[in-house]
Amino acid sequence: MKPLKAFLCHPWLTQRAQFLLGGLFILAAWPKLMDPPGFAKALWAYSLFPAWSILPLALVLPWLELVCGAMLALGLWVKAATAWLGLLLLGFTLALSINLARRHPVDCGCFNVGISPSSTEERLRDMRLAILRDLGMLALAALILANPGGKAIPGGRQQG
Amino acid sequence: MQSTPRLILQMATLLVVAFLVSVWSNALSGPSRRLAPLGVLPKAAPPPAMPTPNPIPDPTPSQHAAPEAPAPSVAKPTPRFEWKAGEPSREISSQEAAEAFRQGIPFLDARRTEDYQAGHIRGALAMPVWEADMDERLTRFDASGHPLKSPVVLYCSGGDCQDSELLASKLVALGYRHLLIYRGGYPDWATKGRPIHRGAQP
Repeated sequence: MKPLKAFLCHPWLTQRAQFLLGGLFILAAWPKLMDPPGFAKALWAYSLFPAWSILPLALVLPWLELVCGAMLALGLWVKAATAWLGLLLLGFTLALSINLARRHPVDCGCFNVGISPSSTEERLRDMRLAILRDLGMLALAALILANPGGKAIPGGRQQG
Repeated sequence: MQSTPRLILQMATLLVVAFLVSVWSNALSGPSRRLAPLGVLPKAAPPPAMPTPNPIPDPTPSQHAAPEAPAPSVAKPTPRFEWKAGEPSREISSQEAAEAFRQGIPFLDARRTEDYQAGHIRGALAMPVWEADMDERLTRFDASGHPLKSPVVLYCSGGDCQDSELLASKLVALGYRHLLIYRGGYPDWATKGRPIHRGAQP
């Protein structure tokens, strides 16, 4: 177990996980920033959020993703940025899982806010894949948070 | 090791930065990319998302019309669109939508502006429910003097699109009581080769 732990906590791996997770969130934020009404519609389709919360969420979430993704990629405030991204991933995974459990197909709205013309079964399959992807990203966030040294990318500010 | 208060402070700072930038960005966006002001969104639809449609009445003159509804006339050429009290909105079939078009009943397109510009039912007015100038468009439609109990057809993208229902809830709030929701929407209309138009609303 020790070599595995040493590998998982190695700064080389953590730094690449930071770049990857930060980059993925910047990519995910972009289409939502370009079309907030489309993202609001995607959130509303989840049938989970109170009506009053849809517009503030649609407005702030993409910018939070972008700011945290950029901070993470730049190695600034790594733990705070990762904590936010981890919370967002947990929320997305939970929201998708609830809708999957009640067989209510929704378009994820994760990397694009367009409406998919797919059938119900295809959309449910896409939701399963999105949950798997979110869990993978959550594992990356856990890896970054678990690095006891919290080493930042060279040139960035040191954590802790 | 980073202290918890410091972590929370940094997280709060990130949230505040995201909030401020989002408000600034929204204010600078054009109407089709700007979110509508708070408080205009109706309650989210409960699962399974698709609202239960009201039954489509028989095309023959109804014998169950409410007492305050106008009495159906045998000579009346539009029996299937008579107004019924207590039923502000109901779904209509593709054939009924075509009939409504022939009768000159106004059509309102609840989809996004870019979808409307890519193609819409000829003569339909753009009412993109998710965009910031929605209330202004509704006010203009309301000011056109369309009678509250005269039929209006609402449509969006078909399938499980609920933008028509959202638009209906806004129109009901304005007092409209005869809303016909064309469930098949633009895809059904276009597939059947009925009259469409491309481009912005004149």
